[in-house]
Amino acid sequence: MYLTRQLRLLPSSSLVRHITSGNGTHYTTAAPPAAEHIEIPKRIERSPTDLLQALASTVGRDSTAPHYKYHDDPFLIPTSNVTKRTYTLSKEAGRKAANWIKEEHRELFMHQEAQPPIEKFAPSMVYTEESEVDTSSLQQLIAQGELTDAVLVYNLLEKKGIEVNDALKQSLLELVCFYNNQEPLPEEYIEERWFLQNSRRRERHGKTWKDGDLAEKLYAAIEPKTPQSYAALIRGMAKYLQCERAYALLQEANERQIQLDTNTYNAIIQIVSLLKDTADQRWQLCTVLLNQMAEQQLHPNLGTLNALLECISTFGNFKLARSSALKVLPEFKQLGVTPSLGTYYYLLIIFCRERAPVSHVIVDILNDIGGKQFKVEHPKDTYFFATAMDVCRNHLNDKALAKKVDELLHTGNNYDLIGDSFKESIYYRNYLALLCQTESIEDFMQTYDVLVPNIYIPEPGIMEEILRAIEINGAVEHVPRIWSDMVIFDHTHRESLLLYVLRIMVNNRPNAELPAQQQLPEQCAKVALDMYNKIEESAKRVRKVSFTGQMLGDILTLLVRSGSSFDKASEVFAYIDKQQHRIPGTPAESALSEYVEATVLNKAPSQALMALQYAVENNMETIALAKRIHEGFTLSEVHLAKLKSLVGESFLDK
Amino acid sequence: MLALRNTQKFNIRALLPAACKNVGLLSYSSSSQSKDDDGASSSDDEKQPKKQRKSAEKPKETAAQRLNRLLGSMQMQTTDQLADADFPRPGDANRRRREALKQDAATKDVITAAKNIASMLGTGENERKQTESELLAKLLGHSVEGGPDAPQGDDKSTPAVTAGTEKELNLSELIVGMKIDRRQQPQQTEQTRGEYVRRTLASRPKSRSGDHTSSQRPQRHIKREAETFSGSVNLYGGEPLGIFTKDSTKLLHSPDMLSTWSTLAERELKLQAAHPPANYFEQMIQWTAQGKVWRFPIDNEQDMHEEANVDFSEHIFLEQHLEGWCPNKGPIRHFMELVCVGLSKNPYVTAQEKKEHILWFRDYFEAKKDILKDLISKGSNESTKNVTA
Repeated sequence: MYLTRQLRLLPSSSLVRHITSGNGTHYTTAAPPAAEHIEIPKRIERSPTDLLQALASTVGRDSTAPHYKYHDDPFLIPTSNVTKRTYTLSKEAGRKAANWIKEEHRELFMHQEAQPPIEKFAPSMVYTEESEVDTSSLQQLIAQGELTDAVLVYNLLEKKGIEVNDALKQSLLELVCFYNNQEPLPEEYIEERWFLQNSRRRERHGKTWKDGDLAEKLYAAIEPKTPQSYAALIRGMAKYLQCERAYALLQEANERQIQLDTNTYNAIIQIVSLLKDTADQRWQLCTVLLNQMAEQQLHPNLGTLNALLECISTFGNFKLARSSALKVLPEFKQLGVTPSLGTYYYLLIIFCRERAPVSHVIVDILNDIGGKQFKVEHPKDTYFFATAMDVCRNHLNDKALAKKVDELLHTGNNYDLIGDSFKESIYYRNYLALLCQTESIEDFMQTYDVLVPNIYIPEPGIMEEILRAIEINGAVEHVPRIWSDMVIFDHTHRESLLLYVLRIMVNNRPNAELPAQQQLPEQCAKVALDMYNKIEESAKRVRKVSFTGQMLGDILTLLVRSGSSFDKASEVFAYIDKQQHRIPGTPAESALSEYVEATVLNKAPSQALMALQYAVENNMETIALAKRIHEGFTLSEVHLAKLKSLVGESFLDK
Repeated sequence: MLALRNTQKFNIRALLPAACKNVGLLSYSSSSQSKDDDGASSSDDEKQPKKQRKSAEKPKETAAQRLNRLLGSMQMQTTDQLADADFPRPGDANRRRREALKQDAATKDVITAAKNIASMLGTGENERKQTESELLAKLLGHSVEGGPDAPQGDDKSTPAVTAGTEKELNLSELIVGMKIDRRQQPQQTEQTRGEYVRRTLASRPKSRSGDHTSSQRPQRHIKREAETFSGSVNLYGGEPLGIFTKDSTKLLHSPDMLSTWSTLAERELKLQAAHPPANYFEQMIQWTAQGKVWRFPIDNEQDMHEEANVDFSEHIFLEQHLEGWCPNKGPIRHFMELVCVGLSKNPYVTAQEKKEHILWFRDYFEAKKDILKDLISKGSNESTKNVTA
């Protein structure tokens, strides 16, 4: 249903344009002059997904709808960061379970429904110690990147004494080096990858290379050593941070006059920062390596540029870092190497540091790349947007720049480079925080409406920033809206946020004369009551919030102000009165006096006296209250006697 | 400290609004010489001239002290208030009320005492008020007279407290006594500011010398401002490194020498930019890439790698394989033609297999040739018999 809705909305013209785009010639309906030779364009070979891509590019992101991956059912649409993650990963877990059944009970899936058959649905080959294998199956496994099976088959072949040729050994060596003989996450599990990377980042420190493992045995088995075998082992070691040995191997290769390639040098340049300690030494080693490359007539590429900048970004001395970065860039410009987003990411972390003077390099970068489309060319390309927004917020605090970055992100397919869920949320966190500090509250709320909750859900910290912006602007009319968001985002167990919301509502008394604020006292009372109920409920839960006198006082004030919820207010006050020994602190005196005022309006003398008694018991200001009660009511004898017993006769003298 | 002095002073202090109260307190301390010297010792460079013309210097000193103390006490006050507001403790409110009452009473006492004195000294209404104002001003320490006069002021005020009748205190009268201060204060602040500048100038070189290596460090805290705009960075206009650019023509483009590695790296890179499909088309793209659906355009011969180069005629016209061995007519021919029709309709076997299938029959019939001949001849004999019979 969702799809048909989308399809109907497709602008037909853009569809046509997309389908014909990429085609050099233009079709025109106007009749060409008779003399002109009609050239029939050659057929363009399309890949199986080209048409689909053209169609997909016509569907924009609908900020009012949840992401496509969530079940299209209002009951199952996640509304907080935790549930988003949970729902997505459970869906993926379902896929995994299905896969497991398929593997475990392969006998049930021997039939082929599709004709021509779809190999993916056939049970996969299982290799055991007894399987009949030959070199062709090994080759196939390597091509598929099936590490574990390839290693198993290789061992089987060795056991049976079947000769594996050197080319195949080399391929296997590359495979093993690339994955460090560890099975990678299957590429199918895209959601897991989407949520995984924030936890994986931690393990990128320290060596993970398996010394003396299969890779090195394979390397030893290849005789005589080829440049390829050197390159594979060097890159593997560099990738898994066995830096010393990788560098030693490079030197050995150089001594033996073995010609390596650019990418191998890139791998070494990437780990220069781990080989040397000081900035000067690192820079020196970099130049040495670059000179070696030049001697071997290797043309550096994007990888070289980014590896160099990565190394430079680790320099503690920011002056040297800046000057060397500015030397590297023109060099590669002259060589015709086009920078990728990763390059600009490194530039940002080189120039915009916390312990260095402010740099506006991002302005120049945006001038350079504004409006361009990017494709992923380097693993660090996905870091650009999150970092750029971070710079906009924390380094420059510049709203205009942030908007430019956001515009770039939404150019073409650049959104693909946002990275994963973690980086995406960092990006939006910084963006929203910056906007709510710098924009007027009305403008900010427009952006907020677009982004929240389907694209981004603010974390409690950002919620606090938003509340601060509301408080500064005195825009109490937005509070009910924000509160309902807080409820669905599951922020209601944060005491600081609750207090903040209450404070804003209490301090900014709605102006009943403005038509926009007429409903507000009622709404605020609803919010307060909702909060009261939420806190009461939370007592049963693990993460419970406990009442404080301040909080209850604020709730009481808000209930009193709405006019129609006096009963509820009395209920809350009865709670305060009953639990006064459990609740830390007392309500503000203004809250009590507003309550007493309301009892006068609602002609409830016994409630008023209860409030007075509470005030007396808690050593609060009582004279004014007593006077007010005395004036407001025509008290019965009993009440009058009680009043006197509470505060003495003082209220009688004017 | 105040409690040790006489209670009247304390009372006077209590009667004043917060800002004035410290000022009053300070000018009291100016009356005693020791205090004065303490204040003077704070600024070392001015000690010499001060000792020479002490009396002239005194008002300034008191003002400086006053300012400092005022600031100090203001801080104290704010923290006090905060603490109160933060933790309402049981009984707190009562205590506060009691204190306020006490102070109130004391204030009234002092004022009435001053009024009494005034009424005793002067006869006319104006005169009385004048004296009263002076007395109170004295208590506050705002008198124009310098240090030597101060003890005198004390003497005056002490008897003043002993008697009194009147009730209200006129605030404007108090302010009369404070006017002088206003004249002095700006002068004083100028001096302190100058002092401050001098002091900072003196301390600067010391801290700077350490900072030279990591330059601009002092800017760090105020750097988030537009003034520090360092101009645009010319990303590509700098001096190139000159390692490759020397003779870039000689460089050869080196293709990745590791084919497996590069395909794996490519795949990894693609996964970096992969994100969950955002619509059904993207979902289809993903499934197509994973090989879970037929590829566009739909083709019922997809993945037929072996047969891709075999013409359809070889699948359908199979009689050619009968040439040369199969009799032109008779039951074997009939049978083999049926086999060919059947095979030509079978999409599951390759052309080669079909051919092999037919040739298997050839061999079979070849092997059974004798039996077949017997059977056929017998059959034909019988049929002729039947015909003849």
